[in-house]
Parts: sequence; C-alpha cells; structure tokens
Amino acid sequence: MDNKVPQLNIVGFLCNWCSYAGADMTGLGRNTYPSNIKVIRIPCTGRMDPMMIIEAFHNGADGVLVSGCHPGDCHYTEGNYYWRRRYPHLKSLLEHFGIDKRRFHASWVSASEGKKFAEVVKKVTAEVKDWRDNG
Amino acid sequence: MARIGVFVCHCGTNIAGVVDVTRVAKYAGSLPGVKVAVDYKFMCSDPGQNTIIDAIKKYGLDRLVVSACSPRMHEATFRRTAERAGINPYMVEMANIREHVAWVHSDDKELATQKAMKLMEMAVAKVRRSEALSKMFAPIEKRALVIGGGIAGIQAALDIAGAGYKVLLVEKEPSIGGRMAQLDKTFPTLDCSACILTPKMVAAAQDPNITLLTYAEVTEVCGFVGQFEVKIKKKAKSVNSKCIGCGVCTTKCPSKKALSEFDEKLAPRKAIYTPFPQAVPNVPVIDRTACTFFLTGKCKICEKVCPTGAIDYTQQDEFIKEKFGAVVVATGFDIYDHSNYGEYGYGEIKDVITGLQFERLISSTGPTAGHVTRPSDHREVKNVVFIQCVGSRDEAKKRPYCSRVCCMYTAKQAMLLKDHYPETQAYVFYIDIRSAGKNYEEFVQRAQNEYGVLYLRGRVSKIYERANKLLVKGADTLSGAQVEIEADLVVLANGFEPKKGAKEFAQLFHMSSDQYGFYNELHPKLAPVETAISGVFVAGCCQSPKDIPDTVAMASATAAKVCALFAKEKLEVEPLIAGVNQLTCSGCETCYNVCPYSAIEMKDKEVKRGEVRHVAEVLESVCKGCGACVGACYSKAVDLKGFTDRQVLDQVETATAPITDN
Amino acid sequence: MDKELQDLIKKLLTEKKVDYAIGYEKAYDEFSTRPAFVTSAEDTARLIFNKYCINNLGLYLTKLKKNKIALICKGCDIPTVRELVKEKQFSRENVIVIGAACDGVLDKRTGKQPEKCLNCGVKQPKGADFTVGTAKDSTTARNFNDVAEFEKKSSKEKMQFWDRQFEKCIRCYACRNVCPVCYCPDCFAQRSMPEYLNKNVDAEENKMFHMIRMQHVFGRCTDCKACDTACPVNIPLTLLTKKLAKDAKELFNYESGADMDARPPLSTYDEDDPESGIM
Ligand SMILES: Cc1cc2nc3c(=O)[nH]c(=O)nc-3n(C[C@H](O)[C@H](O)[C@H](O)COP(=O)(O)OP(=O)(O)OC[C@H]3O[C@@H](n4cnc5c(N)ncnc54)[C@H](O)[C@@H]3O)c2cc1C
Ligand code: SF4
Ligand code: SF4
Ligand code: SF4
Ligand code: SF4
Ligand code: SF4
Ligand code: FES
Repeated sequence: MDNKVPQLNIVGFLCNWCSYAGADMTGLGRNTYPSNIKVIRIPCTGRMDPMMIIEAFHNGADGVLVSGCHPGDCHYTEGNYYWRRRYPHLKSLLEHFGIDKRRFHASWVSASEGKKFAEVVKKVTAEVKDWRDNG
Repeated sequence: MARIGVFVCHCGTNIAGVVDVTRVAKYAGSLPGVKVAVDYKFMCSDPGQNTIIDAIKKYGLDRLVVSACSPRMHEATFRRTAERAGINPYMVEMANIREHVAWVHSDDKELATQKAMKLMEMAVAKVRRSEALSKMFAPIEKRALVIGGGIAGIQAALDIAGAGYKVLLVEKEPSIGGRMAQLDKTFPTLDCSACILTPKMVAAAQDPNITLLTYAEVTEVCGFVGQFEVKIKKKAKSVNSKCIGCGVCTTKCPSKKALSEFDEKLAPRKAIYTPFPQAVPNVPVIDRTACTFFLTGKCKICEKVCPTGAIDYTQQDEFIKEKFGAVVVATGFDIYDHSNYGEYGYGEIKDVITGLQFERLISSTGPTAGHVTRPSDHREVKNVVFIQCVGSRDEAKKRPYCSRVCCMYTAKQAMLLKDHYPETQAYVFYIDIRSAGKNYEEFVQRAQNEYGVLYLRGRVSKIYERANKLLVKGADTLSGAQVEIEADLVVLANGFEPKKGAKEFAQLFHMSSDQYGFYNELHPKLAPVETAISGVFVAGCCQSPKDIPDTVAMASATAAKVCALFAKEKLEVEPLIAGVNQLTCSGCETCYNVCPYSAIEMKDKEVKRGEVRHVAEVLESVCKGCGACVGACYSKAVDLKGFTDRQVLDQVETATAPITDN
Repeated sequence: MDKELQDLIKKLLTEKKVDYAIGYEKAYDEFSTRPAFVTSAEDTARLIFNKYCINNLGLYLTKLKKNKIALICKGCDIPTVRELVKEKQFSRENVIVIGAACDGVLDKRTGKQPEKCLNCGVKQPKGADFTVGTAKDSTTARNFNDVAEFEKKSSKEKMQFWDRQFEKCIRCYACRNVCPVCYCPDCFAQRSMPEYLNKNVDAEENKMFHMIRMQHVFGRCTDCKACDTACPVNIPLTLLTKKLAKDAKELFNYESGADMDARPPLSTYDEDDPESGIM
C-alpha cells in the first residue's frame, strides 16, 4: 500500500524488549511503512492498562496497535500472556461501544522481525483507513 | 516549572538527510517548558555531549530530550551525559527519529519531518512528568553456570575458573567434548582434534573451581542477573560414584542394538557405554531404552562384572536447584538433515554420507579405525564426490544462510582422504568458495594445487545407484558442460542448524532467537556475546555457525563479561520499578496474583491514622519493573516509575493532538 | 416468611454469632424498601422481605470489613458475596449468608419485573448458609439474546446509540456508588493527578467514564443490575453489564461469583489461550 495516508492518527504501544527492538530493526533494514503511527515505548505488554487505550480513542486516535513479544518470549515471562487476555475482551467491549474492530489491533513482533513490523503497520493503517473511508 | 532542553541530532545524514532537523528544533523551542532547542551533527560525540552539558549549565536545565537514534542504542549514553552535568539521569528522554522515522519514512521528507516533530513533542510531554530516581543495588551470586560442554563451554568454564570464580558446567551427554571430539583433524593446520581438545577436557575436570555435571539438563530458570535460580535435572546414569572407569561393563554388555551417537550411527554401541574412549568423566551410563535388563528384566551382567559394585539399577532422575550470578549458554549445533534433498537420495542411499560421518570414518578412533570404506559393503573407495552447501544458501530449504565452516571442512576432508589414500580422487561441487580467515584461502589453494582436488562449480542434480557405484550428475557452470562422475562415496557438506530443542531451551531464559532458531546476541556488532537478558551470554555455534577459533574467541569473551560482572561489589539495577500508593489500594490482591516475580507483598497496615487496611507493597529488590501489576490494578493504586500513568497519558494526548507549527 | 427471617436473625444475634444483620425494611411507602442494619434482637421486627427488595446488599460488605455480619441475599446477590471474598474485601467466615427465596422483584419505575428476573435460575438461592422461604420455580436459564441482538448493529449505530444515552448521563456516579465491586478507595474518575477523566459532564467524557468502569468491572461484575436500577435517568446499563457477562463466558468460560476456585479472567492466563486475531 501507499505509505502516504494523510490525517490518520495511529498510536502504537510497543514493548521495549521485542517489538520496539523489532521496529528498530525495520529501520536498520530500511523497510518503509506509512508514517501515521506514533510509537510509545512501554516495558512490556503486561504494562498495558486498557485504560490507556480507551484514553487514546477518546483523545481522537483513529487506530491503536499494541505489540509485544511472541507468547513464551516475554522478557518478563508472563506479561504478554496477561495481555493476550486483555486484548480480546477490550476489543469486544470497545466494539460494543461503537469503536470499530478495524481500529484496534495487536501483534507479536520479535526483535528480529523488522520486516514483519513494517507489514503489521501497513495492515493496521490499511484497516483504519478502510474504516474511515467506508464506515 | 520544568526547564527542558531539546537536542536534535543529525546523525550525519542518517537523520538530517530525511528529516528537516532545524524545523524540529525550532518547533521544540516553541513548546512550553522548553528553554533551549538546538540541532547538532553528532549528539553522541564528545563535542555533541559537551553541547548538552554547556546548555544545561547556561540555561539551568533540569531535564533533557534527545531526538536522535533508538533509546536502545544511546539512552544510557545520554543519561550519563546528564549525570555529568549534575542532572538526575532519569530526567532524560529520547525521541527515536532515526530508526522510527528517517530510516523508515525516507519516501516522504515532509511527513517524516512532521512525525519527527511529533515524536519529539511526545518525549517532551513525557519528560515533563519525569521524576528524579535514585540508583538501586542488588547482590551478586559470584558463581557461573555454563550450559553445554562443547569447546565453547569448556573454554568459557576454564577462563572463568581461571579468574578465581566457581563454575558449574552442565552437559546433557555423558561426556563433555561436543562436536569437536567427533572431528579427526582440524583446518587450517591439520592438527588432530583430540590432541588439542582432550587436554582441555581434562583440565576442566581437574580444575578445583569447576564442577562438572554431565548427563544433566536445565529444566527451570527463574530470577535475573546476579540471582538466577536454576533447576537442573541429573538424569539417572545407573552407575554411581564408585565407578573407576575400568570399562569391563561395556566390554561384557551383550546388548548391541543401539547405534552410537558419537559415531554418527555408523556403528553399534553397547547399552552401558561411554560415548568415546577419552570421555570426561570416564564413567559409563546405562541407556535404559537399550538395556536388556530394563527391557526384559533379565541380564544384570554389568552388575556382576563390575569390580567396585558401581552399577545401580534403581537410580532415579534427581533435581537440584542452585543459584548463579551469570549464565553462559553454549549449547552448540546440529547438522542439517539431508533427507529433505530428493536429488541426493532423500538420505536413503547408504553411501551418501554426512561430513560428520566422514570425520568418524577417517578418524583412527572411529568405527573403521580410520579406514575410509563404504558403509554399504565396506569396500575401499577410489572416487569420492564432495557436495557443498547442503542445507546452506538454499532458499528453497529455508536455509538461506551460509554455514561458514563447510567450504573449509570439505577442503580439509578431501586433503585427508588424499593423505590416507594417495590413489583416490576427490571431486568437490561448490557454489562459491568462502575461505576468509587467517591461512584459510591458502589452505583451499593447497587442496587444489598440491592435493589435486578437482573443484567443479555447480550443483548436483541427481545421484543414482548403479552397479555398486554412485552416478553423480551435475553441471559445471564454468565450462558449461554437464558432468557425470562415477563415485564410490558421496560426502555431503551438511550445513549447521540450531540444536534440536533450541527453541524450548531459549524459552527457559526468555532469550530471543532468529528465524532459524540461533540465539540472538544483544547487538550484532557491539554486543556480540551478550543477550537481551542481562547476565546471560552466548558462545559458540548456538549463536550462529562458526569454526573452532571463532568459537573459542567468543567463549573467552563471555568469560570476560562474566568476570567483569563478578568483579563488582554489587549490581547497579534500574530503579524503574513499581510502587503502590497504599491510600488508594483496595487490597484486592490482583497485583499479588499477577506479578511474575512474586515482588508484591500483602500487608495489614495503618495507612491513615487509626485505619488499618489490607494493602499491597512492592519488594523493591525483587521487582523487575514489568508493569503487569499496573496493567491489572483497577483501583489505580500501583504505578511504574519511568512509565507512569501520567507519562503515558501525556504521551497519548500529545500523539493524538495536531502539530501546531507554522 | 418475614417471621421466619426475623426469628433466624434473632437467634443469630442472641447467640452472638453475628454483630449485626443487614436486611431490608419498609421505606416511605409500601412499594419501597431500604437497607436495615439490625444490632439487637428487639430490632429484628423491622426486617421484611418482599418483591420490592431490589437492592443488592452485598454492597455493604466492603464497608464493614471487621465485623461478623448476617447478610440477607436474594439468589442473584450471592455471587457478589463470593466475588468480594475472592477479591479479599472481607473474609467469608465473617459473613453468614441468609438466602431469601424470591419470586422476582418489581422495578418501581416500570412496575414490571426486570429482565433479570424473567431469566433467573436462582430464585431458590444457592450457596447460602441458611435459606428462608421457598420460591415457586427456579429453572429458567439465563440468556444473552438482547445483547446478541444489539451486537448485530453496525459500529456506527452502536456509537450513535450510546452517544444518545450518555448525553442524558448527569455523572451522579450513583451507578458506581451502588456497585458492590466498585469499592476502590479513590476511584479513577475523581483523581486529579493524573486526571484520567475530564470533570466536564459531556457525552464524550461520560461515555469514557462508562467504558473505563466497564473495563474495570469486567470479570468481576456479577450482573446484579444494581447500577441499572440506580440510574436516575434510566440509561440501560444492563446492556453493558450483560455484555461483560457474555464476554467473560464466551472468551474465558468464566462466570463472576460462580466458582470460588476460578481466578478472575484478567488476573490469570493459560499458556494455551487462543491468539484472538493477534497478528
Ligand atoms: C563435519 C564438521 C567438520 C568440522 N571441522 C572443523 C575444523 O576442521 N576446524 C574448525 O575450526 N571447525 C570445524 N568444525 C566446526 C566445529 O565443530 C565447531 O566450531 C565447534 O564444535 C563448535 O563448538 P560448540 O561448543 O559451539 O558446539 P558443540 O560442539 O555442538 O557443543 C555443544 C555442547 O552442548 C551440549 N548441549 C546441547 N544442548 C544442551 C543442553 N540443553 N544442556 C546441556 N548441554 C547441552 C551438547 O551435547 C554439546 O556437547 C567442523 C564442523 C563439522 C560439522
Ligand atoms: S491490584 Fe491495586 S488495589 Fe489491588 S492490591 Fe494491588 S495495588 Fe492494591
Ligand atoms: S512491576 Fe509489578 S508485576 Fe512487575 S515485577 Fe514489579 S511488582 Fe511485579
Ligand atoms: S451489575 Fe452494575 S452494580 Fe452490579 S456488579 Fe455489575 S456493574 Fe456493579
Ligand atoms: S470504576 Fe474502576 S476505579 Fe472506579 S470504583 Fe469502579 S473499579 Fe474502582
Ligand atoms: S447512575 Fe446514570 S446518570 Fe448517574 S452516572 Fe451512572 S449512568 Fe450516569
Ligand atoms: S517484554 Fe515484550 S511482551 Fe513482555
């Protein structure tokens, strides 16, 4: 997809140990992706208080992505297992309130998956764009 | 009121080539609380850091934002800079405008610049809420665990022990030695592998600082740098400490069904065995899946013949739990299984063997006492074809990487063959010859020029069995001709791959692996033996394919890292940990239940005068700052230093607000 | 039934099994009841139980941690007790649960039985220490049909629906104040450092308050309907709390307050949990 998607605001929460490092790897490999995502570094997906995501949508974010280590690889052993429970619940609750499913995503990106991070961001951006354009 | 300085780095042209850094700095200057904003060519350089220090003094700054590369790269650098100028090091935030902007948005400079401005603004928003934190210290258990007793593990253990620290060396096989013990001679000097390895094995066994634990495996790991708690399974050897290593049991054992792992399944081995004669320790184990007594209930010959009564059929697996300050992972490699290659006969042609099997065949301690004969009919050989890059540099087999050692070991094996049997002819099919290394290219040249090894550039398309011969069909891309060689034996240069179970093993430590399963170093250039898990180091082929010199160098490097760690009195740890506001804590115990480190204690405490409540408290020396408690506490009573709710919320708010630059 | 109830409480009080009892008494008219705190045997005459006893008295447990209490519960209130015990708000030994058989309560606002009573499986209470009375039938299973119906709407329609609802909300916090699992000493909604929630009463802020509250009570809310009943402007909070119950069941096979041994779904995990569309 085209990397230029104006006026879409996506907030990305990336765990320090895998996904943030993975996103660094995307840069090292000079893979490109749309610039809408603004990354906030968190220590671990276990830190993700669902409230932060609700606040992000409330503040006008069009989309949110939370990304962490693959199951079994969390730097703190268990954080992403808790996140893997919070995510489907929150997604369903948000949808119930009318926040479209296409706006909220999660992924596992390891420190070596720079290419995957670019793909994930492209996909998330495309989904959010689809929501905005087609309702 | 905060006094913030913003420093925007060009990183040469890395950032400035894409991002309009002056615009970023100008925008920074317009943000509330920002007293000074400048851009500079290399912020991390000495003059760059001095720019920061001067600005701190001149403007009385109390917090900094550095818009540059990834915080994973230079956060520590700039924290030190701040400290040097008398600012608390935790009053520093970085905006990653290189990896997360310039390098990934080079296709639109305007959008890239806008994003850089935004990320900088978010960092300013965060740093505004930063609090000064004081350093914390943790004790170090000055004892190292080395896992894997190949040359890497042996070398690391010897070096650490040499510095005076205790080491536990854990090996899952009955003997240490690893792959190197299986080799005949080694390139590029052709000295005998056993002759240089055995003394090291013995030295490890005799070193008073090293404890050897063979036939043992790590099953559980908790804790962290300085304080790893490791559970180790000692598999039942069925032979106790009375054994003097006389070997009578092995000689007399009637069971011959099992195949020798050490001899790469080219020969049978007994049910009670040591993998090879120079094994360290020289104590046999009973393979219970092969032992007649364990299978049928009858036999016990070994017990009868053992002169010291060392056989113990009732031994059980035993678990021990010990503490270590640091861990060296040196679990080595396996070779690629060529049964995936149809063109080489799916691993079903007996006289198509692996490089490692060839090492055993040509070794004087091997199953044929050094006679290179065909596994199928034990005939001597005349024409031998070597095929390189089997499971290396092969996209279709999902093994696109180069195994680095195979070109060299193939040349070595061809030379050894000629040395033993001057009348033989060796052919080598190759894609490229990779012989970077001291005296390596010369070595390959010698194979070609002095030993007459015929190098054919091209791939083999098919191997047929025909009338006691192997017909090898391939292309010689240099001459453009199709070639057909009638060979007696084909030796494959099987590439390296991660040890079976590498993935599960990595999970014990939460180490990350690359897409193939080799363990990841912390930084490909600047931290090649560290891992993302502090206190866990990697050595040898578990990290990537490499030869013995590189393995040994890497092992010694891990030892240096371990010793540097142990030389410290106490360990400085990040104060980025959780803290509970007990006034708002509802005592629900959610945090206590989710904390992966049991770092939360529940207490009945007087939180207000006369009001005793059940509340949570963080054990500061145990908390690792994961934030799982923060994510789970609905009463919003626990927060995480360095990633507080206020900081994250302000980042979120800034991220979603439009840029107000004009 | 009132007599039976009063006698039981009297006995518990005289035998000093409890310090006091929490039940219902008649309020300003015969269609209204209010909570009654009874400390002496003589006082028990105030206690009644009828179809206007709509409140969930479990709420008071969190406020009275140290005493021994007899608590009068309808079948649908008992999960609250279990949930609060799980969340360490008091210890089970300190509470004697007196289950009151119930043929359904009446919502004063509508004069009808609320939906929860139409699908109630615990008219004859389960898991009480003592039970008074006998209910007519207690077999109906709970269903989520109304939630499922709502889920079929497009996200835009859902958004519009809630926007209209929360325009009405006056942020009186009655819903939170009556909620037994909203026992936090300092609710996020009132904090100023950080200010999680703007204090402006507008539809957007109101909606966020509810989103966050619903997230906070997920896997803990027993769908007791106290909030729904308490809301002065009739916002259908039940459509939210039932959604929580449905999701807890469907995503984690969890029912709040049902099983003392099951951990609330968000404070535990299983290594084999489904990936739920995580990329
Ligand atoms: C055919 C062939 C020929 C070669 N020839 C040469 C040569 O001539 N010159 C040269 O420089 N290099 C040569 N090499 C390369 C050389 O073998 C390696 O560089 C070297 O063996 C790597 O040592 P290592 O300790 O990293 O791994 P390994 O030798 O594989 O040792 C790893 C050890 O760890 C143990 N282990 C694994 N997992 C666990 C666990 N979970 N718990 C406990 N223990 C565990 C294993 O049992 C093993 O003992 C050759 C390789 C091959 C395949
Ligand atoms: S989760 Fe929060 S409220 Fe509950 S005990 Fe922990 S800090 Fe207190
Ligand atoms: S941040 Fe919380 S959950 Fe994580 S280790 Fe510390 S106390 Fe435990
Ligand atoms: S139904 Fe309402 S009052 Fe009852 S537990 Fe759930 S949120 Fe609280
Ligand atoms: S809404 Fe959340 S913070 Fe407020 S009382 Fe309920 S659970 Fe606690
Ligand atoms: S009770 Fe009703 S009006 Fe009051 S805060 Fe709750 S939803 Fe809003
Ligand atoms: S550290 Fe990456 S998810 Fe926990």
